[in-house]
Amino acid sequence: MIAENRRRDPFLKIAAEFLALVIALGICAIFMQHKIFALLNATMEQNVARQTESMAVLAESQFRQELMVLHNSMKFLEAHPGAEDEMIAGLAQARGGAAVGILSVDGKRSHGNTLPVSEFHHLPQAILGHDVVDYAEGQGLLFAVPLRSGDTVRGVLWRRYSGAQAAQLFNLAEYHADRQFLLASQDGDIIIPYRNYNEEDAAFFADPSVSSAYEEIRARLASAPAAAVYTESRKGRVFLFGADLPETNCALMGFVPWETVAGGIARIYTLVLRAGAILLLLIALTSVYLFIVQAKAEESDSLRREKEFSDRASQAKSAFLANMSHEIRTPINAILGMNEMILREAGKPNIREYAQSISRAGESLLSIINDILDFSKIESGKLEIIESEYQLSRLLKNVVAMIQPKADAKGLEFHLHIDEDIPDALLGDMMRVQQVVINILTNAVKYTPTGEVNFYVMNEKREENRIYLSFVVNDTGIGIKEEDQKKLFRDFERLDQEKNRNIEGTGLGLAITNMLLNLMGGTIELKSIYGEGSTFTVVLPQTIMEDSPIGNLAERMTEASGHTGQYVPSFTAPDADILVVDDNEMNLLVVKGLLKQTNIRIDTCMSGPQCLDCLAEKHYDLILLDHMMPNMDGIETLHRAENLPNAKDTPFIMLTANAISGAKDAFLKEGFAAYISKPIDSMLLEATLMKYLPESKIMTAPDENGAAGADAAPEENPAPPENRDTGDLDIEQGMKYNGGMEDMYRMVLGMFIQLRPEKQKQMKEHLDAEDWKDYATMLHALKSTSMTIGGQKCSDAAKELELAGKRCFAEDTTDEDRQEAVWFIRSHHERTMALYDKLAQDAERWLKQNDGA
Amino acid sequence: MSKWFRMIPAWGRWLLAALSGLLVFGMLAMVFNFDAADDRRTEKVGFILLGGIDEPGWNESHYEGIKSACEAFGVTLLVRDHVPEGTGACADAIRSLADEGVGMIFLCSYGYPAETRAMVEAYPGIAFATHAPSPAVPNMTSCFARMHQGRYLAGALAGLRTKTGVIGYVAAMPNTQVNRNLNAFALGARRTNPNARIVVAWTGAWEDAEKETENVWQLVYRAGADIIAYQQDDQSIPDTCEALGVEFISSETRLTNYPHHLASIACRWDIYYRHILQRYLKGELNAIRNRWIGIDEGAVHLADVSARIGLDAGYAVANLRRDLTGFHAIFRGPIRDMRGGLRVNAGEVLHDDALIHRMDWYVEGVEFLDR
Repeated sequence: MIAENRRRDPFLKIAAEFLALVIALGICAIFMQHKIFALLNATMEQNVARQTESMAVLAESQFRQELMVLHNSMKFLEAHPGAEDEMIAGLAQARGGAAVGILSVDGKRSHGNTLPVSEFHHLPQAILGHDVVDYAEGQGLLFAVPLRSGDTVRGVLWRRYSGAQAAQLFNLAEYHADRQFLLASQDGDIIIPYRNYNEEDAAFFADPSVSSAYEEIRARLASAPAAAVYTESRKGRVFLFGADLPETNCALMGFVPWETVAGGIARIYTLVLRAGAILLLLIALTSVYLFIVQAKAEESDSLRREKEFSDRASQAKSAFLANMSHEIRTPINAILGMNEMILREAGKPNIREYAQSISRAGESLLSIINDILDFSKIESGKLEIIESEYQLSRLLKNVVAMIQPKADAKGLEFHLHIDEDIPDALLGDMMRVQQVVINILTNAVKYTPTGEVNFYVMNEKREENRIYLSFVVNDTGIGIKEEDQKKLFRDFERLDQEKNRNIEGTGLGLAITNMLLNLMGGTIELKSIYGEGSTFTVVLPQTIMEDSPIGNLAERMTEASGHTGQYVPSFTAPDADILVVDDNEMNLLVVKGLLKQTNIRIDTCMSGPQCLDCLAEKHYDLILLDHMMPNMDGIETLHRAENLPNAKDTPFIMLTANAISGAKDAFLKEGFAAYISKPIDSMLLEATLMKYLPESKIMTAPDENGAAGADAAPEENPAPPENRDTGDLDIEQGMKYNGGMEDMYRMVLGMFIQLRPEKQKQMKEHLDAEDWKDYATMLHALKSTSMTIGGQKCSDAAKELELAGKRCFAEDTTDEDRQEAVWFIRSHHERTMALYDKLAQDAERWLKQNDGA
Repeated sequence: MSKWFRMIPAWGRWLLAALSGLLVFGMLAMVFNFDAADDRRTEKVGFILLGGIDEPGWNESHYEGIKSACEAFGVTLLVRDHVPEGTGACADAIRSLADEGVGMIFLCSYGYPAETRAMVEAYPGIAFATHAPSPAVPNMTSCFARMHQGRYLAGALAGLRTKTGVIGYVAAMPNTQVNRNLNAFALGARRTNPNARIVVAWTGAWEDAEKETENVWQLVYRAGADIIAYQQDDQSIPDTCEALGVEFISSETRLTNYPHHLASIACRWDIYYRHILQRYLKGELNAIRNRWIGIDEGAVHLADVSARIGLDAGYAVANLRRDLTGFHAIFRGPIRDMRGGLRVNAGEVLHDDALIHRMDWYVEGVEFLDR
């Protein structure tokens, strides 16, 4: 919901911003359009005015021509006095019936037509010696020149045109066909209309917009030769123009359509408008783009922050998992190692059964941890497929060894069908292939309550040196609902929760399987009918190393499986020397125990420097080196050892509980030959040793039957515990604590006896010094070791002293309590030491008695 | 695609937004301030004057006239005053005005046009105008006020008012303009009073208060004049007349609080200059060589007519004024000169050009004060 709101907000924001922008731009555009139009019109008005000016000059020149005619006539009269009437007749004739006459200086008619003198206000100027062009409403257009004679004027010669006559004579439109103009008085009366002037035109000039425009023109004409004004009238958009004719009371006026004037400019105007519109659109779009980009940038910023946050969380998770794996694997190491000892050495079938249960639980716990680790490795992309040569038969043996017991335990039939022509030697990551197969099979066994599990290994396809292995697992289990089949390969997804709630596992198995197959180029398919069973088909390409067929493996394994349960070493190497380095005594014991039956000679030491000392003295065929050791860790030890002559070619194998992804590569890079993670898988340990020990020193494993026979004896007739009196020493309990291995027990007893004097001495010192902390620690050790060898009495006594010692230095202990505890220790110490002595003596005696056994 | 944008820091984005806003604003401001290709630059007009612009009489009234005309048309007026004649100072003034980009120059002294002819020709782009007769230069036009129309009406008033039939006239010196005015005055007086005598007393100077006073005394006490008219640049005569209790008609000045003041022969210089300026602005100033501005435009009139002249005299003068705009020319024949010779035949009229250039005679009825 929050995320959705957040996503909607930027959209609204963008829309609002865009709207505001469009409105702002629109207003700007309208203003700009008006401005441009006004500018354009102002410019065109000026152009029209200039053109009008030149037309006025034209009209004026026509007037001058008329006046010139009169002047010439006047000169003719000067030359020919008395010819007035003839001349007047000639003038009248020349201009189609215009009125012509001569006035005396007092304004009276002297020759020709009569003239209503008072109507022409400018006419008296003629007797003062000036030419006159005068228009009088209803009288027409008058041209008059003075009849001069020296300093005086004798009369006035005039010619007058009516409106209609004038229109014919002074048709200015002939010069400018594209515009309508007419001659008017400066008062606005039309003297000469244009050619097709009609009532509509009269209405046009009477139009308020036109007449107000003419008022504007008249106002401008006060100080300008010509003027033009843009207006919108009944004739559309027009420019009205006007110009006064100098020295007359006449004016030129008219109008011209806007389009005529604008011409090309109109197109430019349209172009500018369109370009402007496109530009504004572009600005708007660009802005939208920027808005969106901005919003996206903000969004991606927040996404990035979220991702950084989750990455950090994920890293923390990984670190936690790695840490946990270490913490969990270390104790499991001990549990499984010891349990293996029990399995190997326990005589009683019921004890072996218990141990097997422990083993199963431990393995299961380990597999869960491995699942989680694998998943986190894959998720972080750190998991790599490391290809090496392996034998498919071994892989399958391992798988069967893992699955058969589980199937047996559930009473399921487990059938194996292996194509005999599949090559045995392949190139691939055996561990990962094995993991995939085991995962599917484990699931099949897990989810099949009754019936059978069939495992087919087939040769799907073969291309030159490449084989497509097909592992098909078919069960009669609960099956998977169709709608759940898709969910199957997802992380942490467990189907049918209710039904399967008592089935253990992380739910990661198939997800990991799927991921691993992707990494290896394989595929997985599922066919399932709910309630009837499922079939998983894995197809995986592997490279063929050697073309020798695997043969009838199923049969061999079925035979072998009949003898499961008893450990048989895969080889012996009595001449081989190896050194095991670990700061934990128990681990040393575990390794020694695991390798006991291979008869390898094993030396141990507990730190890096000790290891270097050993190497200085002796050559070893192989060295198992722990990683985490105080002072000098495994890696440093390796680097130092590499310089020693005895260790030059010796393979070092890393033993570590550090299962962080990528650790293996790191170790190999440092120079380790191999890597074995704790808890130690005995099979893997043996396989590794077999690979890295010199071949000459490896002897084949003892005959299967022989071994079985030899081992069968203790199984069938478990060695009865010694019934002789062993004093305080409980042999059975001691053996139990030592993995049922008598040798180990003996060794532990030996150490117990050997260490006693030294330990007692130290205890005494701590007691005398009243160093209760160290005293308690030593008594704690005595308690544990006594228990381990079966000295219950001594252990109990030591426990009491330990508790008293702890009371002595605990912070919340009162002085009274402390005194009592000290008193208790002092009064009981000797007695406990006596028990210690007795236990050691008993152990020594038992060792001597059973030395021969 | 938004990578580049994300690379810009937040303050940078604000800066970008502010910049683009500023850009848009600037663009708009540019568009709105972009005016039409307005080539109607402010017109400048030059005015060259003999005296100072604040000297009462001729100088001040002309300055006030052209100033009001320029204000009416929104034209800038540039003045060069105290420019003496015959020193080349007028040419310098023209040059400096031309440098300042004037489009028109008015030469406001009688002697300027003749002495600056070369200068006027050197600036064909500038329109020159003057109140005096001018040489034939295409870009120079003489604009005459028909002052004699005012003198004619004044003479008519004096003819009506005189009881002795003798009208005194004080004038500086004889020249065409002075003679024209004097003759018009005389023709007016003789029109209303055919027997009237116009006695002229010359002072020999445009400004000589003492001589003027003496002339008035002479005219009144020796010639018997009961009305005094004059054409002088200074204004000492009204005081003298008032002191003597003689009625008088003033010239080119508006008077109040003079009980014996009958009227003023006045020229509306604002109308005169407005007419000229308008012709200039319309581009037709120099279209003709001589331009006349008279009583029909209202440029010349008889002002401050005293109530003491009475209604009859008032009507008579008003009728004469009306006639002047019609076919009743002042210098219409027959006109005889003071020696009885016929100067203008009956049926003929002296035209304006003749009035400017050739007037060295005096009409019948004019007498010179006998000293």
